[in-house]
Amino acid sequence: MVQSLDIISVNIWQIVISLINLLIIYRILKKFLFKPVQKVMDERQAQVDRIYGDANQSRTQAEQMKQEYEQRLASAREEADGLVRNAVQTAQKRSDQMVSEASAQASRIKQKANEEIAQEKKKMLQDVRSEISDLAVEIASKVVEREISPRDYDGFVDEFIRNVGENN
Amino acid sequence: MNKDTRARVTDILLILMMVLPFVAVMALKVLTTPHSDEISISGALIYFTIPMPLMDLPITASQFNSLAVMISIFGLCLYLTHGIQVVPNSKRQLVAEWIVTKVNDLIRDNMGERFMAFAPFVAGIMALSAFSSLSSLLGLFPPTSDMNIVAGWAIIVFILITYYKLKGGLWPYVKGFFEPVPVFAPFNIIGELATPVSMSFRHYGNVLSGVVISTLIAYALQGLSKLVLGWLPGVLGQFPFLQIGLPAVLSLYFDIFSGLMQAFIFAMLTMLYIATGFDEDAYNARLARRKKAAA
Repeated sequence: MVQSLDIISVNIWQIVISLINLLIIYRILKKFLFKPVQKVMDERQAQVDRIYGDANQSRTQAEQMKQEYEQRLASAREEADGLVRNAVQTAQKRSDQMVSEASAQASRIKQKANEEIAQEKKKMLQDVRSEISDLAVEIASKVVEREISPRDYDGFVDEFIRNVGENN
Repeated sequence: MNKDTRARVTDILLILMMVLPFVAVMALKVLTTPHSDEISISGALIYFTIPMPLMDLPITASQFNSLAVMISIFGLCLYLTHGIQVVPNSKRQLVAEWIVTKVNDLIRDNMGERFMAFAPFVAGIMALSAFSSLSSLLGLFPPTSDMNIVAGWAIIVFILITYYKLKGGLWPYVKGFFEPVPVFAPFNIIGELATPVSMSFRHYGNVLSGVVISTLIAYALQGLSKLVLGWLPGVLGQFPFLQIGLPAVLSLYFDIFSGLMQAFIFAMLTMLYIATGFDEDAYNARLARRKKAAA
């Protein structure tokens, strides 16, 4: 015949057994439920963090690259602008130089021509003068019937010519 | 045998590990319960007695049922964490994570970050208490209606409370009993000792009262059924038809609600008593003093 305990009964050894049972369950839950689940959740957290970190990193990298690219583009544009400006400036300078050179040359040529003309004129005048003086001397000599040295009458001839020139 | 089938076989074995202990203790109960028409409200059945110093140890149904509950919880743990992966691909992993997260949150909210190591302990109390109380649904003797079982848990809790009170120093602990005036010392000591007693009595009394009321009602309904439907011919007259229905509704309250409630209350009280027993300021002051003495 199986007997029963009284409905209220205190037994130290049963209490001790139950106490040990709770400790065993604590160890079991700790080792077989909390530890593996916590480990997996931590791992997942780490993975998620890593993924987010990677994403952030690549985004900043992309932004950096974009910035760099834009910077480079801007600098390239600037460079191109500079080149064009430089070229324009050089061309302007060159053309200015060429114009000024041309004008200088022209003025030089003109001057030279003028000078040549003047010289020619002078020479012609001189020729005419000498011719006239010769002529005058001849006429005069004929008139006075005597030889007059051209040197003595140089001043006279000059004055005469000037007078002729002014009358003309 | 490939990996998939091996995992499935392991799952089946783990489920058997959860179910078989209960089947075994149910069989044991069916085989050993003395048949009687008399109403009998008594403690657990004694299977055998081990002579021990101080007091003999009777091994009763509560010990067997506790063992079954423990093996079942062990199996459940293994089942929930079997094939656990960083990227969850099974519902049971979600359940396992839900349990762990909930218990951790509970500890964090009620005890603070310092006591996070208590999570498995509190979960253990809850699981043991809830499973033990719910085992009455299977017609088993619920171990929580045996005072010795609950008293064991309450004693651990009492030891932990005292341990954490002593962390603030021995003198403040002793002085605490003589406050606000020394006359209060006996009451304070009784109050201190009343904590484990009230905890164990509350839990045990609740579950036991459920068992008693369920037994009484079942017995009463059996009698009523015989009285009202006894004129039916043959087996029909003997069959307690009135026992269908009402006991199920009552067991919904006494076994499920009350059992889970008491498990939660016990765990809650454990957390609160331990957390409030620990005086962080006194502990820090003591640490600082000790550091100063060492330096």
